[in-house]
Amino acid sequence: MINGLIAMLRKVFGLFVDDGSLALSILVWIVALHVVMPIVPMDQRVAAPVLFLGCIGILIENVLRASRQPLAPAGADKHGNAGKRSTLAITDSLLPQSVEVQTINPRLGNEAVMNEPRTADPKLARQLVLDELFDLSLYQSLRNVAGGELRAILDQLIPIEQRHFAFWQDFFDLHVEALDLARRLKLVLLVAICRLFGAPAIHLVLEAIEVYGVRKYLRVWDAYGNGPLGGAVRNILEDEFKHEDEVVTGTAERQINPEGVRDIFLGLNDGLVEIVGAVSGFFAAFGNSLAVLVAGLTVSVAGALSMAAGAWIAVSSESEVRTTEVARRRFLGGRGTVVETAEKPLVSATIVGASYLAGALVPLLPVLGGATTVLPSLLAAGSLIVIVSIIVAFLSGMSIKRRVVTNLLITAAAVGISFAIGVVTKLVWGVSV
Amino acid sequence: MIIDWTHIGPSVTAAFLGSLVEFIEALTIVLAVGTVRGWRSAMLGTSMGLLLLAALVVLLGPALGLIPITLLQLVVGILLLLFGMRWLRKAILRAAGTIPLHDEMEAFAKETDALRGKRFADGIGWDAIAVATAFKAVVLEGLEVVFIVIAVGAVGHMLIPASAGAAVAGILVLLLGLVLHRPLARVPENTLKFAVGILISAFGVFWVGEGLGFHWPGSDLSIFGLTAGFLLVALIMVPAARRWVPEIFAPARREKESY
Repeated sequence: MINGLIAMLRKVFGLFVDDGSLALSILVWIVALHVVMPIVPMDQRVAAPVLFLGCIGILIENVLRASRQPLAPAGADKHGNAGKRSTLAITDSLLPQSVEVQTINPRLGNEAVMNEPRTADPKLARQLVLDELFDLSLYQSLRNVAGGELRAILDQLIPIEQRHFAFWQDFFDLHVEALDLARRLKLVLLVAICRLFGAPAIHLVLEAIEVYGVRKYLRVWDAYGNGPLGGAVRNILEDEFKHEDEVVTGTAERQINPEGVRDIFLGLNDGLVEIVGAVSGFFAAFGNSLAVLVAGLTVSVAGALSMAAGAWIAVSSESEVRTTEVARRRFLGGRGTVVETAEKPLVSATIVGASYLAGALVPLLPVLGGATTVLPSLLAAGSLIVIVSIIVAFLSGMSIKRRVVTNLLITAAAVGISFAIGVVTKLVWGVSV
Repeated sequence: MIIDWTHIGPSVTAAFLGSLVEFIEALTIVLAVGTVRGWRSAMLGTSMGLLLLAALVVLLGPALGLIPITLLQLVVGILLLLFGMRWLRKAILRAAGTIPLHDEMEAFAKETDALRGKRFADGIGWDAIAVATAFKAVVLEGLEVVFIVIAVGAVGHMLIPASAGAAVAGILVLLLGLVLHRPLARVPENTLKFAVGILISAFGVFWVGEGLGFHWPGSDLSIFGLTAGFLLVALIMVPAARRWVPEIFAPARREKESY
């Protein structure tokens, strides 16, 4: 009787929830619209189509994800009890067991690799092999664009990548002949950018690929370093690190100045987030474009000066501390030398201040152009935040999706809180302009 | 009385197609029970299941009238959306070949094998296992029919047309079952689920929008636009999902989602 009741309840639950993430996404979308729509000054006729488009987006994402991801092992029951098994158990069951691993890398020689039973995470395996194929395709494409020293670098990198690609294919027994859609698009985009901006862009791309590679290989080390394949993995990773580092950063001077890049994006991001938040609050409180514009510009200029001053103080203090430490060591008889700092206070202050102002102007430009609601500012700032996040993530080898989502969430929180403050201010103190 | 098919058409169609799929699944199990354990017990289990479902409808139907219309629209809309998108997702993945099609002949064979392995209970006039199996199948699959009928009919005063759609589906399946005496394996079940998923999802989005107080362009007629939108996306997603399936992952997925 109780079993029958449980079966019935399970059936009722199963009517609506099969893939948990699909159900959760739909519910979150509905709740988000219910909360956001009444406070966003948007034409309510747009709300219903937005609801529909969101549902369509959720469906597309879910189906694509379901068709791409490895799911569960054979024998999983219909209520998803397989999820209780460990990831290792799941991934093990996806691949044939006790496959002999062979290496074609002549340098490695690899007694350690030979005859070892293989256990592999299919997702990581596929990602690695596709990444190697992507790197190889990119270098081959860039070779046609580059000239002089850059072409020589690429000529050295291409055979290394060919060897790595073959190694990882054999390592995982996973043979891939074509890039997936996302990597194809990324390849086309990067080659187009390099064509447009020439040698500096190619340098930046090569260094970004190197940074990304380091992170990726460290993940491989985390996955396999302590296992029976640890020795073999260490050999191939050393090979990867050594060659790419020598070729990319040994031959040419580093193009990415980490402090410079950090300053630019720090300023840009601060300006965008702070002013889009401020503009939201001003619109909620004042409801008058001119007042919003004046207040927004004032906050932007003050913010840019404040950020520049902060950067100047931080870098000059750091420089003074370093100089004092060198003098102290020299006095004590040590061999202190004044190390040329990568950052100069004035340069750093100018970069941060100018970047902040550039970011701040983005949400203000629509107001300057006659916008009477906050929506155009949100769209403009949101678009730039996505672009900035993608560039930062690419240059620093981070996950693009995670960076974009994090930045958008931070911005949404800033906008939401500022808007709420604006509404409360208007209601409580009766602010009007 | 003039029937406005533009108005009732989507509700009747959704209820008919959705119920058809569920009745076919219930019929498969009842047929298996009847073939292996005897028709008397199978029919008793079926009748008991139908009675319970009828009681549920009688209890739930009037209760719906007590709920404020906006809340009803929102709750029913959310449930429809969850239900419809779940079916549509699975139908797309099945059409793409990512997971295997539901096979009624296989389900029939499994059920008959399972029933053959169980002993008859001694000393009872009825075959309790057969009665329970048929009852469970009818109630569990019938619950989906009840939900579909209530969900597509409740909020737009379409309960009677939707019930009529489901009843026609039930009679059709019953007649075919009586004539054929075997599972309806040739019915394109995935195509039906594909169509129902689209229709139910469209209804769901519409009612959620109404429940939230949003304005649909074209009012009720926008259901046709929503249906067309879901259909277009679903048709595009089938080849897209097919391309994305990496070969090494496909066998495991087939095992996981073949229920």
